[in-house]
Amino acid sequence: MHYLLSHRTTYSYANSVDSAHHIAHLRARSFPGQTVTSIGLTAQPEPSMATQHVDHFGNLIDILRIDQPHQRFDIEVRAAIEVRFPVPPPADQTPAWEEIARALDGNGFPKPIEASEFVHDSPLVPIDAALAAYGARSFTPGRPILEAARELTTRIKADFEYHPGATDISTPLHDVFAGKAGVCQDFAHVMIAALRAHGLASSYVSGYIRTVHSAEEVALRGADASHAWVAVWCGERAGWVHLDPTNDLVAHEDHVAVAWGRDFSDVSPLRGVILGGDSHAYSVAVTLVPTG
Amino acid sequence: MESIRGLSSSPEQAYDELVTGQKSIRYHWQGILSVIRALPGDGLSERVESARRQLEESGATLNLLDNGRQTDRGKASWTFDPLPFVITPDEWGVLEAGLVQRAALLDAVLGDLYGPQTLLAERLVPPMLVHANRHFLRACRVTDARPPGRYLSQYAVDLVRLSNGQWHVLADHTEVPSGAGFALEIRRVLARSLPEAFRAIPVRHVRSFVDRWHNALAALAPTGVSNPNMAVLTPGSLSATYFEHVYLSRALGVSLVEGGDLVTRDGEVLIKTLAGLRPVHMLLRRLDSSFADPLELRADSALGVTGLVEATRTAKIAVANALGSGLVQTPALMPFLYAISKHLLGQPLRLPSLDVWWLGEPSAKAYVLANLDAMIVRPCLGPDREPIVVGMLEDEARHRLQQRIEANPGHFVAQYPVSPSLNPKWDGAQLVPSAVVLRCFLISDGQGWRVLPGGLAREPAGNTALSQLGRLNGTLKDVWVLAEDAADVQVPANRRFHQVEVDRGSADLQSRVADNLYWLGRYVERLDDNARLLRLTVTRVAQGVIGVREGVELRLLGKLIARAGLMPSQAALATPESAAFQAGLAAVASDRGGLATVLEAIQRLTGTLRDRFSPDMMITVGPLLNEVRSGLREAGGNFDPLLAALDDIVRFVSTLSGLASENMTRGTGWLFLDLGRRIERAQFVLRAALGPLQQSPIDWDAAMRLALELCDSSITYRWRYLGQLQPAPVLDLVVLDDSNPRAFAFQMRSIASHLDRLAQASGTKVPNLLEQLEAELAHAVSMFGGEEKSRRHEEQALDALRRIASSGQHRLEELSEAITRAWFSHVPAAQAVGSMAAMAAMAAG
Repeated sequence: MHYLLSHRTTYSYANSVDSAHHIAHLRARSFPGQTVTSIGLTAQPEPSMATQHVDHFGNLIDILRIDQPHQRFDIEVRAAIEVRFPVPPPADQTPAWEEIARALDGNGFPKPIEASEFVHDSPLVPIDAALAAYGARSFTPGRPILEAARELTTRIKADFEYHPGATDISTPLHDVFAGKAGVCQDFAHVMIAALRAHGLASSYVSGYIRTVHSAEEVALRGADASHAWVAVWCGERAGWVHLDPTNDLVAHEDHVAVAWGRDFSDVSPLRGVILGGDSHAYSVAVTLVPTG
Repeated sequence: MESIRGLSSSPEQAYDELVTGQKSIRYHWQGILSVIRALPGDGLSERVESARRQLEESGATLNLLDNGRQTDRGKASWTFDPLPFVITPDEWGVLEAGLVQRAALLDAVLGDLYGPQTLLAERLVPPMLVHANRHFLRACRVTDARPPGRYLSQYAVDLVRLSNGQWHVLADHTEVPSGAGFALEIRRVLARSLPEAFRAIPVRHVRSFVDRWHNALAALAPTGVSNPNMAVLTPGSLSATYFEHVYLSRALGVSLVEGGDLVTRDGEVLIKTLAGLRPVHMLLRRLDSSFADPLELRADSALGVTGLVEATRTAKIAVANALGSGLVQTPALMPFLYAISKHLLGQPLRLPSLDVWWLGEPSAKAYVLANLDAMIVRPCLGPDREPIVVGMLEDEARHRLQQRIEANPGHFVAQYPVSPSLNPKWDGAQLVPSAVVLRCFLISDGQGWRVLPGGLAREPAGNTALSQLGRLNGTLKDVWVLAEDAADVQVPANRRFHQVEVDRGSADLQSRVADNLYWLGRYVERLDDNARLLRLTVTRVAQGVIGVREGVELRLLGKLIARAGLMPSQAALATPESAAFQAGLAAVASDRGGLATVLEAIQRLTGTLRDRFSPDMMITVGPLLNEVRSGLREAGGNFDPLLAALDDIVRFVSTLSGLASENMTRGTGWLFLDLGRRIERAQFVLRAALGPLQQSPIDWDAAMRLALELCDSSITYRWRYLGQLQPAPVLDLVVLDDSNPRAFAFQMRSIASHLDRLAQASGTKVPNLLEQLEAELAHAVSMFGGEEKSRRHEEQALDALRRIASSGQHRLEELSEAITRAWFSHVPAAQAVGSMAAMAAMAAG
């Protein structure tokens, strides 16, 4: 599936901002399953310094500095992206989850090394006994990993209420779990915690999901939002399988990935440090149009 | 000597540094022992006393101006012991080679782990020691940027000598390797208090190390910078090792900066100074990496420099040690260093580590769990590093520990308790053996590593040598590396001289420092003003029977006290015999009272300015300030002790003023300090001299007396006018006479001249908002001097005074704000956007 993406973020400040530094994880990356055919990022006011890097996880980051006084900051990324996540093998044919966990432990020398980084707890996903117990109901002995992970996805969708405003990113994961409500990144963090508690590798994927299915629905433009889901390491054959606990889906053609890391804190789309400005407000407009 | 025989009682297994197996004194100890035996008078006790006093005075042991918790204030963090750790040239040579190799190795390990990570692929380092390590900063491993030229350029290491006489590494310090400043200071003090020993014994000098360090740091600066601007980056005066930060900045001759002093522009890092932004090329980092940049590292850090990580990628700034260098100080790496050394250096490891088991390996875990009660377990990847002595645990705690290990074995290491070697120590009466851990320091200039020929020997506090490795506590002593012969001792300093332009440093003053000096000036003056005000009040109240005259004066004083915020108006205006007034007075002296607030501000500001003042000033100010505070506290509301305490305050201020005027160059720093005082005093004169006079003429006599006393001008007045109190001459003396340093006009002259000089130095001009004020005041005062003394005339004069007093206060406030805008706030305070709450909605899928 081909998409045209526009993602625009605007900060409005109560007072003039003298200078600002921003770091953005906004450029979608290419990988097997997704090809970014063109991408451009623009910012207003014009940054006095703009650099791009590839971060530790292979994501593309932009670092911008604005020196002139401003009361409004706009940043927009436009991209043409082709998506076709590989279809995972049948769930019942994937290895038992313990086998994957054993390899990822490797008595100190795991395989594969890259995946093993996503086994440990991370800033926003600490080890939590309640979440381990929650995951254990799906990860019964000997069960094929994808079957168990897929069921976990379904359970999260059923057990948690999608409720914007119930949480923010500073809400501890334990409280999210206790409240059984939240938004996509909460569900992703819940699932990641349940998987890691079993010694499995899972990463946090930030991106978008298609909400319009035809040209007639274009009226809804800008109503979309960013999205987040989970990639689970399912062994050499299946590789990383992208599972969406918010929608109980296996990512295939409706998901567009931007970046991944251990949790939200590794890939937050845009953050910055400003001098001056007092209070600030922001708005986000995402348009993801399928073009066939 | 009797005392030395006591040493034979040393524990069986430990190596004895003093006595051989045959119970004879080792050869290299005989020199120092004979020096000690030959000491005249009280011998060693006297010298120890003097050394401890010097260390206390320099602030090395004692935080003179510690803002810390009340209970910690004034408490020594460590004690000094005069008996050095002595090491022979041969032994030092072996140790040195091992240390240099280890430093090079750890630097190479960092280069690999922040780069290609071949050590993980080759199964030489368990990936978890990187991935789950809190010191692994992913922002510092941007795969497409230029890596730092080197990671380590300073390295500290703790060593112990085991019973077989072999040295083993106890701990590596790579993140912020501290202690060298303490080592140098301890040497300075010991050399002064025990000079005989240094004359008699060929001890290698440490001073040239500092010169080498300066050169080494300069060599790290970006290429093409011939005379690099360098600075020590400190987390601030609340840091436990702030003494060392100040010490190093002085010894190395570089500035001491905090994150707030720095900004980044176009890949450069700049210091905010009076004259604007000046580039800095090299930062000797004493701030924990994770706090160094709120943009890419911890967003909640208020200590860092926004954009520092990105600046290091452009290589226009060198940071030593590089950000993220703490990664290799985990003890979990120790068992793997043998193989790593062969892989990266092609050499066997020369200097062994203590045996450490990393529990992430099942065989190691099984072994440790089987022998758990005999072992010490340490968390090795997170912020908590404190050792757990398993044998000392209650059953339940032991069980919990076992569970923690089973759940997360890779987060722990274990080892057997060590018996460090025993070195003599002075216990006040005799020499006794005590366990010793040796800390050595290394620096690199990019060409090679150099070991400080000396170091710190430490008798650890706590129940294991592994306790609180990050802190310097317990007993500290000097380390003597003996020279082959006396000729080796004098190492010529070889600081590489470049053309340094003569620069009096006027405009280089950091904006933050200027800001602090200005407010120190204001607070010191406020303290003086308040103390004088209270002193006049208490003197009158203490007389017991309050006459009519005193009654009027007290009423006027009460108003001034209330206006100064020293007492609530209700209490200040109550009759002196009333409970409200008495309670108010007691509260003023209390720890929460108005005076304490000002004293606290002074204590805080002098603390942050420690590096700007001469040691003499700090030595005087610190203890005096503590005395004043305790005097006040003890006085409570009792008149006599309170008066004594207030006298002490006035004396304290004049001591401080004397020191500042005789010891500070009249540079920009002094100008700000004095500017603060002048502005504060101008406000006080307006309040104290003009305030009471604004009352009805019935009160004028009292008002005039108070104005003279509060402005310390009674004697001059009596001498000039023989005691005839009249408004015009009184006002002339305290307001218009610019030869009277307490008069308003004097403050205005000084303010105008300071503003001019600061404009010249910094290139920024602050308009003098007070210019008109003097003419207005002169006119108003002349109205009091008129021949005809009609009621109407007096009313007009009063009106004019009131207007001037209030507009004067207003203009002084405006001036203070203009000064702040012009010189202190080059850059407003930073705030984070988008990192927390904003993101929730942003990624609200």
